[in-house]
Amino acid sequence: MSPEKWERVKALFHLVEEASTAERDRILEDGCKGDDDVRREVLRLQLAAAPSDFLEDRSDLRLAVGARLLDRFEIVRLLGSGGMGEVYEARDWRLGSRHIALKTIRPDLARDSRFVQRLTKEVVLAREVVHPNVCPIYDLFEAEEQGRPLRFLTMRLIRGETLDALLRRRGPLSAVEALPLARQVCAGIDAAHKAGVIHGDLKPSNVIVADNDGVESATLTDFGLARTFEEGASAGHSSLVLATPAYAAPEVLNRTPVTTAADLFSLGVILYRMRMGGLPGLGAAMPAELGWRRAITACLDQRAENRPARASAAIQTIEGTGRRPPSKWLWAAAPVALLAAGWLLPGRAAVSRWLSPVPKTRHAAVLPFDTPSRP
Amino acid sequence: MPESPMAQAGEITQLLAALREGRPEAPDRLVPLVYEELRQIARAYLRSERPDHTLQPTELLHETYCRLVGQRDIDWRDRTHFFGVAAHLMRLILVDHGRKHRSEKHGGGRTPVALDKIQIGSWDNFEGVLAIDEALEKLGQIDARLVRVVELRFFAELSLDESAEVLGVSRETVKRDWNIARAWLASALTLEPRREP
Ligand SMILES: Nc1ncnc2c1ncn2[C@@H]1O[C@H](COP(=O)(O)OP(=O)(O)O)[C@@H](O)[C@H]1O
Ligand SMILES: [Mg+2]
Repeated sequence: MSPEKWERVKALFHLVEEASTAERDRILEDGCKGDDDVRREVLRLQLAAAPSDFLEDRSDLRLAVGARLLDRFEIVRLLGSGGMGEVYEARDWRLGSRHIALKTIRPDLARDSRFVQRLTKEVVLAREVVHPNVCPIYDLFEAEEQGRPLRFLTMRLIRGETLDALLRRRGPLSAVEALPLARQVCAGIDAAHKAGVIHGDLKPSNVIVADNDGVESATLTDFGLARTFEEGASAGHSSLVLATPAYAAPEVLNRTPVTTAADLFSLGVILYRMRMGGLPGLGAAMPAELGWRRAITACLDQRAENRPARASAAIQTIEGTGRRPPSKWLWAAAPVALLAAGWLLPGRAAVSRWLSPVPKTRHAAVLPFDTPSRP
Repeated sequence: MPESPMAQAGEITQLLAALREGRPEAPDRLVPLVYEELRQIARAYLRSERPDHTLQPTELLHETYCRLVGQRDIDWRDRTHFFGVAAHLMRLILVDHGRKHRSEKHGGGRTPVALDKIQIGSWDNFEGVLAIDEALEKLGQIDARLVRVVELRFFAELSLDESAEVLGVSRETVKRDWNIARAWLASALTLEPRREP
C-alpha cells in the first residue's frame, strides 16, 4: 500500500471510529471514494479494534490526584502499583478526613465475578486478624469512575518504607539490626495463621517499616489477597498466580494446595535477604551466625512438612533458644543435583551444604528462586 | 576512566534541555549514556529481587534517571523527555529478556498468546512482549511514527499526555495514533494476512 493510501486509511479509520454506528457504513463508503484497498484496510482495522482488553489503556485509568470516589475518598497521591492494581494514599472525608491506603483492583479482575467473590471471602477472613504487625483491611467498595466501574479496598495507611526499599537503600542488615524486624514479621505471620489466614505472597515489598524516633516497627500488608488468585488458578479458570516467584515456595509454583508452610518458606527468603541483601541459592554465602543459618535453612526446606510449624520457632532458632533442627536439614548432600542443573551464583563463596534435601525427581522444584529452570 | 557522576549529571541535564529545544544531535548523544546505565540497573534488578518476572519499565527508567541526573531537582518535563529517549532502549531490554526466557523455558519454542492478555504492564507475559515487538517490526515498514507512539505508550508506559509532550504534538493526535496502532497490531496478531489471488 502506498504511503498516500495509508494516510487516507488512517484518516478514514478515525472518522469511522468517531461516528455513530448508524453512520459508519455511509462514512466508509463516502470516504474511500471507490478505492477497494482503502475500504478493505479500514474494515480490517475496525474489526481488529473491536472492544477487547488488548493493550487496554491502564495509565488512563489511574486515578488523578484530587479525584473523589463515592463522594467520600479523595485521592492524595499514588503510592505504588503491583499485580492487583494501584495503591493510593487517600483521605476518608466521612471519617474525619483520616488518611488511608486505597488499593484499586485491575478492571479485568474486577469484571470477573468469581474473582470478586473470592476476594470478598478473603477480605472477610483477613479482617479477623487483629495484630499490631498486620495491616488492617477496612472494607471493599464499588464505585464508578469516568463511566467505568471501579472496585477498590481500603486499609490502614502505614507511613514508612517497604522492607524492599529499605534493603535497597541500606544494604544487608547486621544481626542486631535485623532481629527486631524479623521478630515482628514473625509475630504478624503467626497471628494471621492462628486466625486461619494464609498470606500467599510474603515478600519485602509487603512489609512496611516505620521509624518512630529510631524504633522500627514492621507491618505486614496484603494478608490473604494473593490467595484470591491462586484458587482461581487451581479451578482451571485463570492462569494467574500472583505470588512473586523469588519468594514463593515450590508448592506454590507447582500449584499444589498451599498451607501455612508456604508462608514459612517465603519467610526464609525474607530473612535471608535481610541479612545478605540478595536472594538465596546454591553457593550463596550465608550469615555468619549459626542461629540465622539454621532458621533460614529450616524455612527454605523444599518439603513443606519439614519447615518450622510456626514463625516464632524460627525466631527461637535465631536466638539459639529453640530446639536444634534435625541434622538432615543442615548436612544433607544435595549439591550434585543442583550442579547438574547448572546453577551457581557467581562470585560468592560456595557454602552449599545448608541447602535442604532434594526430591530426586524434580530439579525444577529445587530452584524456586532461580531464573527459569530446566526440564 | 568513566566521567565523574557529577560531570555526567551536568552533561545529561544539558542534553535533555537540548532535546526539549528539538536540537537534532541530542538523542544521538544521550542514547549511549542512557543505555549502559539502564542495562546495568536492569541486570541488578534481575539479580536481586524478582529474578525472572516483573522487570518494571517505569521503575527502571525512574531509577536510571535518578542515577544519571541526580535526585535533587526532578523536573517532570525533563524526566518525560528522558523516558522518551529511553523508550526504544527499554524495548530492546525487555525483548532481550523475553528471548532469553523463551530459549531457556521452552527450548526456543513459542507458545501462542491470547490477545487480551497483552497489556501495558503485563511484563511477565514474555510471549506477548515478543509478539508486539515482531509486529512492530512490520509496522515500521509502513509507519514509523506509529511505532514510536507504541514504544512510548507500551514500552515506557507513558500516558497520553506524557507521550504528547515527548512528541511535541497534541494529546488528541497521540490518541488517534495510538488507536490506529492498537488496531493494526491486533489485526497483525490475529488475522492471517490475506493472500490476494
Ligand atoms: N497499607 C499501605 N500503606 C502504605 N503504603 C502501602 C500500603 N499497601 C501498599 N503500599 C505501597 O504500595 C506499593 C504497591 O503495593 P502492592 O500493589 O501491594 O504491590 P507490591 O506489594 O507488589 O509492592 C507497595 O510497594 C507499598 O509501597
Ligand atoms: Mg503489597
